[in-house]
Amino acid sequence: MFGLRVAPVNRGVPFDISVNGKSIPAYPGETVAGALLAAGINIFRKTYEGDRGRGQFCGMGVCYDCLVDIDGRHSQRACMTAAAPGMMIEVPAVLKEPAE
Amino acid sequence: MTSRQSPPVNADVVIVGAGPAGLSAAALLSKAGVNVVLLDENARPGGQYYRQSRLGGSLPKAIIGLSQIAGRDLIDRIDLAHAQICTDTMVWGVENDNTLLYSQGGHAGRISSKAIVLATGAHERVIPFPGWTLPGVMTAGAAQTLLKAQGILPGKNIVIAGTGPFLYPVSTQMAAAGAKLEAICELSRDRFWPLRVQQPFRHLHIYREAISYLAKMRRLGLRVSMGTTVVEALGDTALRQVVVAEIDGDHRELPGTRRTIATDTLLTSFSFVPNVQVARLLGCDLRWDPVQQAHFVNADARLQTSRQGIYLAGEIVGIGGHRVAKAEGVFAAASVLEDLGYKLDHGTAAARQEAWRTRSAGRQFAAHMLKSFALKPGVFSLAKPDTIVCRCESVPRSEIDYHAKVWEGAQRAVKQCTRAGMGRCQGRMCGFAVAQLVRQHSSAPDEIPMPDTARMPVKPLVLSEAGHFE
Repeated sequence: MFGLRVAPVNRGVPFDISVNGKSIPAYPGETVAGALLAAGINIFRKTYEGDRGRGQFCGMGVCYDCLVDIDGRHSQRACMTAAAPGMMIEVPAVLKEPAE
Repeated sequence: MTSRQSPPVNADVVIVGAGPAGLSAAALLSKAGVNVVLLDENARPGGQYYRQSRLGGSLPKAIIGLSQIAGRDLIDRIDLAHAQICTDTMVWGVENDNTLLYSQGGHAGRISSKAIVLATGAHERVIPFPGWTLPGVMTAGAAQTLLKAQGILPGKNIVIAGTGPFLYPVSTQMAAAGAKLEAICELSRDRFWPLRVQQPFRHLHIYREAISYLAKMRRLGLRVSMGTTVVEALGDTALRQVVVAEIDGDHRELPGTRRTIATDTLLTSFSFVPNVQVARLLGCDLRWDPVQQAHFVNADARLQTSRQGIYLAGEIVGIGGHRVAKAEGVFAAASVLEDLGYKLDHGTAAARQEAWRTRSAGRQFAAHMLKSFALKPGVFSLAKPDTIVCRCESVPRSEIDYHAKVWEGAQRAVKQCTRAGMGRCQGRMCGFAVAQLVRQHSSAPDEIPMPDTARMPVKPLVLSEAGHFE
């Protein structure tokens, strides 16, 4: 598989963050949006009207389209928030897998 | 070094924005012994052009170019004995002429100073077309930021559409990092615009830069399709296909020229709009730019605004690029020094003169460039009646057209009736397109439109953050 993380960079030691209860890896310095995109998740939220998916758009904190819930705080900009070990992220657009 | 310092209550000078303009102003002021505080919303200083890596290491030069290194040099020139760089700090309001309100890590605060330098920069101008709200469609700046700061590509297969020289570094960087560029669509058909600038000998460094990009693009096998653009983005839940087509001289789609490309990522870049909100709150006079069809902040010959003690540098003066921004940072800082009662030493005076030369040449070239890439009215016909124009409030074009007709092109009435531009981004994304669509129904379409009012907070704030205030 073609990874979206470009190879020759010193990324340090990865850690896990939780996305709707599922673990994905993140590297020190990555934003929540960066970790989500690298994990193949590009639909972040759904609009109230029409339930349409939205993802990262401006990538610099202006458009407020990449909103996700982080550690219980609603509507945080994924592109401006640094990923941290153990972070609990709720991505409204990602379906939860049924509990086993 | 620069990790999350809390701003102090007072400073001699507060600079808003740590891009090329803000950083060079901070370097000059701190070196002169002035106590300066730099506020920036990002995690690292640098702004868009000098965007620094957030990772443990830096990306190879082949991918990010020299800008990251040049940025680090400039950041290192700031004398931290006199300067404080406060990142993750969002300025959202003003209390009076010399007090700004900010939020950092969920806490609001205020900072007062004798002078303020606004270097708030610009963000991408967007043009609505069917499907542009789909995940997988983003601005070219978003992709570049992701790559420069985190070494992450936005996708594997990329189409880039838009206009202006920014398409060149972005496509080169994406390709060098391993993405497959499916198409690079430039609205303009004019390849030779740089040769028609007046006094070309003033801009040899720009030609050199352009030639090096063209050589790199050739090596990477990249070809720009002139006179083409994206007309539709397709996908059920996220982007799957992009439809591109040829366009005529009015930037209208030429029938029968559509071509569908399978891709997961579309980047768009249609020039830039300045971030003028904080300047507006401070009551600074604006300047209407007929080429960019946007309000910039008015500056006098010393880069002071209409309000005493408030100075400008960089893109909010006019779209000009990093060289101009950096030079204006030096120039504005010299004006601040003078007005604070310092006598400019020989070196500073010489630096100011040099900065003014760079600035004038850069602004002259930028004016020619912006004119060469000016949008034609046909580009707004890319948006169909059911195309969302305002992303935040999901307002389709048909609603904007309807109310614009009823209210005969009155911008404010249309805004109030449709809520276009009243969502979380406060019109930063759709404002330009909405204004252009509405004025088509105005009886005086050439009249300068009223600028949008800026209200606190200029960016969304959690109520508890503002609540910390006494």
